[in-house]
Order: sequence, then C-alpha cells, then structure tokens
Amino acid sequence: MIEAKTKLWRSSLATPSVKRYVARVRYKLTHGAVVAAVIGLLILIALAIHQNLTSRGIDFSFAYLSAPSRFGISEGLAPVWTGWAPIFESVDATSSNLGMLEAGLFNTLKVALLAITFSTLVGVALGVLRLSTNWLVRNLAFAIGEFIRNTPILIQLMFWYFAVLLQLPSSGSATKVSKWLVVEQSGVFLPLPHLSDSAGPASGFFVAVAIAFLAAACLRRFPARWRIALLGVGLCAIGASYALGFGINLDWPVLGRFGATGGLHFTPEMSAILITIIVNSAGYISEIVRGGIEGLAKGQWEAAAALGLSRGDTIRDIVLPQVFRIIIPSLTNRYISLTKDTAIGIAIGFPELFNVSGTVANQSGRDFETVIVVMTIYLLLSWLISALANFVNRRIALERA
Amino acid sequence: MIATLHSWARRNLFANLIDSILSILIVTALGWLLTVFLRWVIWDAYWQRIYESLRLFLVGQFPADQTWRAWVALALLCTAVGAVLLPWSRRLGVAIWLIACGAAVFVLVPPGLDRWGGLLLSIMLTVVVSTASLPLGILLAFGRSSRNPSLRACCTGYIEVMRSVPLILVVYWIWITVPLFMPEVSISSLARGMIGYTVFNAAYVAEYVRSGLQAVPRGQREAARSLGMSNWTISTEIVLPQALRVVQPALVGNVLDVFNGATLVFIIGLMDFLRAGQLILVDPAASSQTNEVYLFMFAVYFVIGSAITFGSRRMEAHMHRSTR
Amino acid sequence: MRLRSTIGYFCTALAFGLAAAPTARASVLDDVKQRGVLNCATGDAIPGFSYLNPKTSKMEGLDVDLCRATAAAVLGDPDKVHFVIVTGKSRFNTVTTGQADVGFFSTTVYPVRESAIAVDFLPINFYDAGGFMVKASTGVETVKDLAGGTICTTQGTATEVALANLFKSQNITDIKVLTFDSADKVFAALGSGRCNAMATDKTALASWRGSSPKPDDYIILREGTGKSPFAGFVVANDSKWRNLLRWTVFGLFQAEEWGITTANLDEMKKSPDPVIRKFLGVEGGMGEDFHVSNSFMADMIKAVGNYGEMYDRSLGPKTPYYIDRTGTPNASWVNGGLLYSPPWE
Repeated sequence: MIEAKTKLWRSSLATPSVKRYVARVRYKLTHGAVVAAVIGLLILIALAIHQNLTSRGIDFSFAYLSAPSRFGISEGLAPVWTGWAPIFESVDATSSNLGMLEAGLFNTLKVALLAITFSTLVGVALGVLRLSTNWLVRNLAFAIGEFIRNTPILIQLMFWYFAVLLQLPSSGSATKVSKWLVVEQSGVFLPLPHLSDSAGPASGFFVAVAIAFLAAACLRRFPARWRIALLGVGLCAIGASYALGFGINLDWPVLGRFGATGGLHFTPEMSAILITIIVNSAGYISEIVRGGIEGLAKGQWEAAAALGLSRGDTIRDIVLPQVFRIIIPSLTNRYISLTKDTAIGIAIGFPELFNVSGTVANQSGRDFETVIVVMTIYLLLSWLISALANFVNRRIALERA
Repeated sequence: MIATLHSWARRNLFANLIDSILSILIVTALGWLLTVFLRWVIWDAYWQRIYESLRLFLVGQFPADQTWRAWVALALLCTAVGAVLLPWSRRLGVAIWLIACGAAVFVLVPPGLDRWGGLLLSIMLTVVVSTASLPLGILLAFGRSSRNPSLRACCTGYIEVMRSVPLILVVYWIWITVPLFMPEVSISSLARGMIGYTVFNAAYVAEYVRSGLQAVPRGQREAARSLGMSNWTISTEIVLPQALRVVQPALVGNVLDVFNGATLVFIIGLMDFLRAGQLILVDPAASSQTNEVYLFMFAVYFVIGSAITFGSRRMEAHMHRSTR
Repeated sequence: MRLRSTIGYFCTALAFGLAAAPTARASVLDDVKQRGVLNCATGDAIPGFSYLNPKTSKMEGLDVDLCRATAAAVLGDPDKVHFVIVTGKSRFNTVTTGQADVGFFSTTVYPVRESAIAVDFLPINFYDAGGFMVKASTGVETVKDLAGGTICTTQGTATEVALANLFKSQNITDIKVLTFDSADKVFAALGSGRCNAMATDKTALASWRGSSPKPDDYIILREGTGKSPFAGFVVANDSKWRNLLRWTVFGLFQAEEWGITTANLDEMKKSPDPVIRKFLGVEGGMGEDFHVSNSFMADMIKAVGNYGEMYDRSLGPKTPYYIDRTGTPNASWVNGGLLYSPPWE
C-alpha cells in the first residue's frame, strides 16, 4: 500500500504538478532531516567524548593555539601578517602553537609541491622508458617501478635517511664537491640568489620593462626586424637597471665548524622525505603513464610513423599530450596520496604538519583539539588539490571542444 | 638457437646506435653493481646478526613456548590463500578463507594480542584488516550508489573524509578515541589499531567495489526487476557477485597496500616487522649491521609484495581470458 | 518505504549513541582488580630504563621493574602486567584515556604536566639531570661551542622545553633542535654525525655511551639543562589509586632502608619490630586500608626486591649501563641520598 503510494509520488506522468511539487518538497525535507540526524549523532558522539574527557579532568578548548609553544623545531617558516602581504619568518619557542602548526604546514606544502613537480617528471620519464625499444631499458624501468610499489614507503624512507643520507661524510669533515654544491650530513647546500641591497623601485621598473621586451622578442609572430628592435630595447633596459644598482648576488654556502651554513639549504630530513616521495610516487606515476599510453589507439602510432615522425617525436608531440588528458584523474589521486604520505616524516624527525602537531599536542596536553585541527587541514588540502585538478581538467576539456 | 638469440639481441638490444650504447652502458653498470653487491652479501655481510634476531623479527615478543601457535596459524593462512587461489567454487573458497583466517586468529589469541609482534603482527594485521574492511566497504559502496539521497550523502561524506586524511592520523586518532567511548572496557592497542585501519581502509575498498558496481550493465538490474526479484535479491545475487569479480584484482592489490601501510602502526607503539628491525639496530653491538638488517627487511617485503602483486595480475589475466 | 526504514536505522543508531554516553567512573584500582592484569605504559628503546632486549625478547630496565613491582603489589603477581609501549609523545594520553593504568617512562616531573595534562605524579624514583653528549672528536666542551650546530632530542620530552629555555637564557640563537620519535634514532643520528649533540637525561646518555662499542668516542658535557627527576604517573583525581601506588614506591625505598631483600624476606617476617611486621603483613597490615592484600609489600619484595636490588639489576655494576649510586641523590637517604620514604607508622 505504502509502496504503491511512494510510486505514485514519484511517477511524473500520472500526477498533477502541484501534488508533484508537494511530494518533492516532502522528499527533500525528510532526507534533509535524516542528514541532520546523522550530523546530530556525530555531535552527540563528540559530546560523549567531551563529557568523558571532563570526567577525567581534561577540558576542551582551542585557546591553547595562541599560547606560546615553548619548544623549537629544526626548520619551517610561518607567515606573519604585516599589512596585506605575509612575511615568512622562522619559528622559535616564543611562537604560538598555531604558528608552529603553520610552520609544519609550510614544510608539508613545501615537500608536497616539490614532490608533485619532480615525481611527475621522473614518473613520466620512467613510464616512457617502459616503452623503449631497448629490452634492457624497458625491463630495468619495469623492475624499478615494481620494487618501489611492492615495498612499504616507510622502509624506503628509513633506508634513504639512515642508510644513505646519514652515511654521507659527517659535517666536521665536510666534503665540498665544488663552490656551487656542498653535500654533507647536515644537508645539501646550493648558492641562493637574492637581490642586491641597492636595488630600488626604479631599477625594478627597468627590470620589468626588460623582461617584457625580451619576452616579446622571443615571439615568432613579429617580423624579424621588430624582434631585433625589441631585443635592443630590452638590452638597454637591462643596462639601465644595472646602472641604477640592480643586481643579483649569490649567497654562497660557507663551511663552518659544524658544516656549511648559508645558501640554499636542504636538510637531510627534508632531502630524505623528498627523495622518498619523489621516487615512490614516480613508481606509481610511471604505471599510470604506461597504462595511459597503452590505452591510446594503435592508429595514433601508425599514423605518426606514416608521417615520418621519429619515435621520440611521436611520444613527445602526439602521444604524451593526449595521454595527459586521460590520466589527469589518476594523477590527481596520486597527488593527494603523495601529500598525505608526507605525514611519515615523523619517522625521521622531519617537522611536517603531523609531526609538529604531535609535539604541540604533547607539550600542551591538547590531543583531541590538535587532531581535529590537523584533520581539518588535511581535508582542506585534499579538496584543494582535487579542485585544482578539476579546474585543469575542465580547461583541457574546453580546449578540446 | 644461436641464430634466434642473435636476432633477438639485434632487435631488442642493438636496434640502433643509441640503443646499442645504452645496452652496453647498462650491462657494464649492472655487472659492476652486482659484483660489488654479491661480494658483500657473500663475504662481508655478517648474517649471524639476522639469524640471532630472527625470533624478534618473525614473532616479536610472542612467548617462546607458544611458538607452535605461530606455525599452526601460518599453516592455516596458507590453506586460506590456497583455497581462494584454487579454481574451484568461489563460495567454498571464500568460506574456507573466512574459517581458516578466523581459526588463525583464534589460535594466536591466547597468549594475548599485545604479545604479537614482528612479521606475525604485520601479516595478521593485514589479514584481519582486509577481511574486515570488505563487508564494510561493500555496504559503503552500496550506500554511495544508492538512490536514497541522505544515505548517499552520508556514505559519500564518510568515504571522502577518510580518503583525504593520512592513514597514520586515522590510526592514531582512533587509538586515542576508542577508550573514550568504552571507558569500562580495556581494548588492546593492536585491536584499536585494527579498528582504526579498517575504518580507514573500508573507504578505499568501497571505491573499488563501487567501480565494480558501475561496471555491471544497468540492463541486468532492470531485467531482474522485471522478473519480480526484490531489491535485496538483485543486489546480493545479481549485481554484487559480478561487481566483485570485476574488482577482484584491485582488491588483491588493496591487500598489498594494507600490508605496506601496516608499517605505520609504529605510531601507536606496536612492533611490526619494520620496527622490530629498528629495535634490533638499537643494540649498539648490532649498529654496524645496518645494511644487513635493511637488506633483509627489503627482501622480505619485496618477496611478499611481489607474491601479492603476482596473484593480482594472474587474476586480472584470468578474468580477461574468461570474458573474451 | 525505503525512506522510513532509513529513518528507523538512524533512530536506532542515535539511541546507541546516547547509550554510549559515559557513566560515572570508579577508581582505576577496581578496574585493575577486575581485569586481573595491570596495564603499564613504558618504553622499549631506553637501555637501563625500559628496553626490549632483542636477544632475549624480554623487557628489562628500572621502569619495567617498577611496572612489575606495581603488578606484584596490586595483584600479587609480577607477571600480571601488560606493557603498553608508548613514545614520549603518546605516554600521557595513554594514561589519561585509561589505556594504561600507570606510566613509568623516565618521565620528568614539572608543573605543566600536572596542571594541563591531567596526570598526577607518584614519588620521584630517580634523580637525573638533563645533559648533552657529543662526539669526542668534535672537541666541544660547552653548549656555546655548539653554535651553528644541531642538537637532537626525543619528541615530547621535558628536554625539548628545557633546551628552548637554556638557549633563551644564554642568548643562543643559531643552534637547531631536531627531534625524533624515539631515542634510538637520536643516538643513531649522533653516531653518524648528523647531530652535533644528543640532549636527554644524563643517565640515559651514560647508558647509551656505555652500550656503544667504543664508549670513549663520546663525551658527556659537564653543563646540562638542569634537574630532571623521574616519577611514575597516573590519571588525575583518583586518590584511591594514586595513594596506593605512592606508597608502593615508598615501600621500595623503605625496604631498602630496612635491608629487606628478596633473599631475607622470610627472615625479616620474623622481625620483632612491629612496624616491619605490619609492613610485611605478618600481623595486622596496611594493605586492607589501601584495598589490596595485606601482604602487598611482601609480595612485591618477593617478586622484584627492594629499590636497591631493582637498581642493581638495571643500572648496577654488572650491567653495561653502570651508574654509581654512592654520593648521588639516587642513594637511599640513610646513605646521604634523596630516596626517602615517610615513616610507615
């Protein structure tokens, strides 16, 4: 009886529109109520936990986030808002707990962004190598990918950190590979370019002009004579900016008692987690890329060969651009996993979000609050990556249309 | 014979100049690496340390006089795996799997869950978590593809949240929250770890199963409905078996993910295979055997991981053959 | 139809949620007795204190013995203990959420832990001091010499906070602090040279140094981060449980003072001293007042011995981690130390 009635509501042919409208509203209201009930249940569970915590003498509040953290971490910058733009400053024991979490998030993002970039490059290369005409190259690429995917990422991290990076020459007897690159146990040091102090707004303006003209000179759509003129103006602008005191200085790594300082410094923890995640994700991405290439119609290869394109050109100009469109959803999932994988940094003391949150929770005694904050941040991060990927996907789809 | 080898090499190794150079370079490099490696493995490495610590590696703190339980459990697990792999009735296979795994857990429980350690813990954790997350994942998958919007919203929300946060965080969170729900009951760390891991993994299983559900043609459901079958019968008897068959290789792949992820339980103080290795290195007398310990662990992980991958690939190939 | 059943399910779930709301909690003591096993939070990677010996697969160390002593006192059997392995980070919530009944994990007593973290400390059972260990080859003598270097320590420890304070007071800005989740990783990083100094409690440093194949490669600096007294901890606001454990620890000190050992326990039971007789539960007894067996002290001493015996087993001259007690605060007060039990009557 009721079954029949429900069917009657849903049937769009037999009922007048008013009745249909009422039915729809009722349907939505009821389901809304169910969802509300689930949310209510979650709140109830939260209340139960809260009450339980209170009975154990633990209170629940987020006020601790603004209290001083009282501990230091080895690396990480937190934004300090002065006016509109944030300035990134390193954190110390006087920074708030929130500042510490921000520094952890900064480290997580730093690793995630670098890893996304490089694992894509390495992964695509590895994936393409799997289709090499050379049997050895093909199978070596396969074996590497297989080894990476069949062993846990944590042991890979442990291996890179304890068995590789910490076996480098120790900081006391630093090996300086060259003036440009110092590799030792306290990390990898590279020269860091930075603006000279005498650079002012005027010189900055000329730099902008120079960049604009030089970029224009590279465009093929202008006739050759124009391009030479553009190049000339660009060079003049460079001269002008240099005359006004613009310059780029290099901050060289300096060898000290405990190893190098200054320059661009990758700590061993950062290097280990970066290498691990890049290598690990590259293993998965190579599989995605190979799948994408093999999924492509055979005709594409044959057509390209018929046009006389070399295998390398075919891959670069014909195959990969199409493959990227196919594999974006899989890549997105990999990027999200990769971001989450940074949380294993805790095992080697890299101060990423999860690690720092552990210290914050422990030193403040606020476990539940911190876990909630951190969970929310990870959720937002994943959603941000999906949203970006969806955006890219739509753009590509539009281009194709 | 020589001729075929020659032509094979010509085609696969020396097809053109670049390939030839590459082949020679790789052969030289690999040969050198292998020589160095084998020389170390055979002469320089001190394998005695691994042998001495084998017990800690394999079963952790499991009582020495109860070791037979571990052997019985191993035999039962082998039976379970064999039952699923053998090409006989699927239902029987699954039933044997469930019974054997249950029996293995049952055999191992008496000394106490907290005494599990090493490889034993890694494997049992994998078995329990992957078995337990399957029904939960199936329910979630049906929920997410249900036409009931509130149910769909809840299941989707759950799956998306779980897939967005790191495993280590979920395991840690469940570990500290469970005792707050049940203040009167003491649940061991391992059990809480299993709960946390299952809660997490179910979301992934759900997504695999859902992709399987989508692969079942709509017409099947409609045809079944026109025969007067109830929704329940259609779902469990028609749609689910087909969906599971499609995603079987993916589910086996998920077992590997669970096994690899099991290393992260160090965060709640459990000693899995990897942590056992690290603890062996704590003993400063063993600290110079870092390479041996890591090589051993890599080898064990790789062998088990490859076996699971192999199983998954074989299933996939089998499926392609049978659908063609 | 489907709608209503869904609502039905959710209502049931809701009811369960309500039922799961907590009930009033009894003392941990009742839970432990009912369970018949003591859940004791301790570590597995601090030689001399709480250490899982890979050769024997057994737990050993002073903290482990304290767990066993507690189990013997409360349940009459030192083996009725389940070690909940914790890290510096997880130790407090393990106890505050009831996953362990008591924690012994080289834990430094300081106010924030009792005020914000909601644990109550037991009597101090070991007097330590925070310190630094460096490699002899670096020639470092003071903390200031470490400028430009990296100090490593364990996450979630008192040392982490002490370091920040020390740097501030000495106006040091260019030392990095790197924290690992367990002490074994810190020692590995010091050994490899990644860390220029390892900062933790001096006794722990000594045991790491002692266990190294070449102890002379390492030097423990004179300078330190200050006092670091260790004590066990229980969940706050449970005086029934806390008082029992407090006097259990005092009992270990008192037994050493009286010279009661595992070996002479039966003899001592014949002692004419009424306080000793009561202490050992021969006549009358204090156990009842604490809601445990009257022989709880005798059971404990029979199982693990007095404090001195426990100390010798884990940190005595026969161990690789030998730390001399004489003339230090860790001697019994009768020998000029700080381990002092209030009178038992």
